[in-house]
Amino acid sequence: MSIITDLITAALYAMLFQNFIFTGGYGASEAVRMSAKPKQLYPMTILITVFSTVVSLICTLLERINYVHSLGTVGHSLIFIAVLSVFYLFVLFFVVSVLHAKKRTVRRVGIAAFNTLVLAVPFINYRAAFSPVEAIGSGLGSGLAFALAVSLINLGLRRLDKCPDIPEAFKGTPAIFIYVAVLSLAFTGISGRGLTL
Amino acid sequence: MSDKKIGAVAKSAVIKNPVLFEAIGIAPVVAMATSLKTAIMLTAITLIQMTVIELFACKFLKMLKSRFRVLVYAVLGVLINIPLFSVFSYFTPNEAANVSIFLPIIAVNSLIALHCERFAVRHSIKETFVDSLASGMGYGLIVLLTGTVREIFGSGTIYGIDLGFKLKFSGLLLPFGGFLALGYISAVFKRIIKRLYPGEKPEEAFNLSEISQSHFDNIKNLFNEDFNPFDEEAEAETETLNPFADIAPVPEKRKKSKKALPNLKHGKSKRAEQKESKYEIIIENGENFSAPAEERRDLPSETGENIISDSKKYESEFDDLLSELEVHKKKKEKDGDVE
Repeated sequence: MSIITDLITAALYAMLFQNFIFTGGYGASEAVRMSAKPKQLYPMTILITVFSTVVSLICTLLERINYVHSLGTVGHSLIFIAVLSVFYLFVLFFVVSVLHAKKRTVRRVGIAAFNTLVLAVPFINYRAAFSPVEAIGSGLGSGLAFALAVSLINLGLRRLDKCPDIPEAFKGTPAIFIYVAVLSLAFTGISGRGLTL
Repeated sequence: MSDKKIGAVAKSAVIKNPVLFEAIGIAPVVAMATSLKTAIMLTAITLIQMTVIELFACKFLKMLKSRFRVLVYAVLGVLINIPLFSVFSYFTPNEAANVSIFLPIIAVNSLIALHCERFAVRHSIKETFVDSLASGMGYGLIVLLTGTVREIFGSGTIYGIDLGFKLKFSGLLLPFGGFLALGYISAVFKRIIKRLYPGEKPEEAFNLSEISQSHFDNIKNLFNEDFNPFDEEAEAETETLNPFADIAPVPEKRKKSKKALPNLKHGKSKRAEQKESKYEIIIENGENFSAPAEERRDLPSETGENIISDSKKYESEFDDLLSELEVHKKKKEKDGDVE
């Protein structure tokens, strides 16, 4: 029971209270660009969730090895990128050979794997000393956080696109950035971080 | 480099700015550029990393498939970042320690992968070098501006020197401050571009034409009356075929639905099906015409939709009953003859 509670708590925390996209800026480019073309949101969310969850779990398990745990930031960077690369090749093989996916989907696997959000999750887990269960929850939560961020930005963009009152200089990306800033401020408030560092 | 080329690079760095008008590589800017020192660090790392990886991709990765190239960019990014990070740790240990978590994150900067795929693998070394400089400079310019603005207003300092401001907006040092600064900087840039290059339209770089093509429409439609996830036509058919059910008028929308076609065949005799294929009812300006299949092409049709109406359904149902009655009658007669 406590395992399930830990998992759900970590996932909800990563998704709602510490939404990595809004409170950390990780994966912000992918979220903003995808919100303009949200048609492929579901496959992209699934891929990001798979990558963040599995990489997060493997990296947390590797942390249990004393040698790995004693490494510095540079060493951890190398290990995290190595884990991500190996898992990417595995997913790529599965998608190409087993699922016979289209070229467009295969290209999307690369975008889903090598982005700041997926790579930030194991680092956050490492700093927060998460257990494997919490690491799974954190990975799942970050995937859901991505979906939430894209849908929130998309809803705002639709309104901004139709709004005639926006000054000419602010139309397009300036308005989008300011809108994302407001969302980011809201999530920062929810996380209880406050405005003083 | 000639003056013309320098002008082209500068113009490309401003008008086609990857961060401001394409929303690429936002994460490091928002998370890392909180002061001028970290902004300089990020600019230098990105510029070097970008030039090296783009040139490497142009020279050696053209033959490799795109799916494997993205992996090489990420690994190369980390390998280039490590010595650069060590150099910065020597000169500015405090700042380097603060941004250490971003080391691998800069390595997977979407700006590098996108420029390598869009440009480096399709152009010559010379062109790739110019592109890497232009995009790297454009990126660096925004990073430096964002870092400076956030440090001045957020910490009240510039390059660590106290400016003596009494009011500090420390919230600007959080990611939301980065997004806000980017919003205002891009608005200023747009204004400048409009004045200096009136013919250019930087806002077109971020295409919003597909903004409404969303999977969310399907979810939203669940609450809409028109949404028909369980094929209501089929249910309507079952209801009308039930002799105990009240016969209600079928709405016009359902009448015109093509989905109704396969469901009508449910529970029909072969004779009725043969007759149905021979004749087809065409709705033309609200009136029904019955015509043989061969002749139906000659009939005028404004909508182009040939569908089977309710009268046809009742007709075939009646035929069913008649044929069953005939079979039953023959059977009775046969039984009577035997007796």
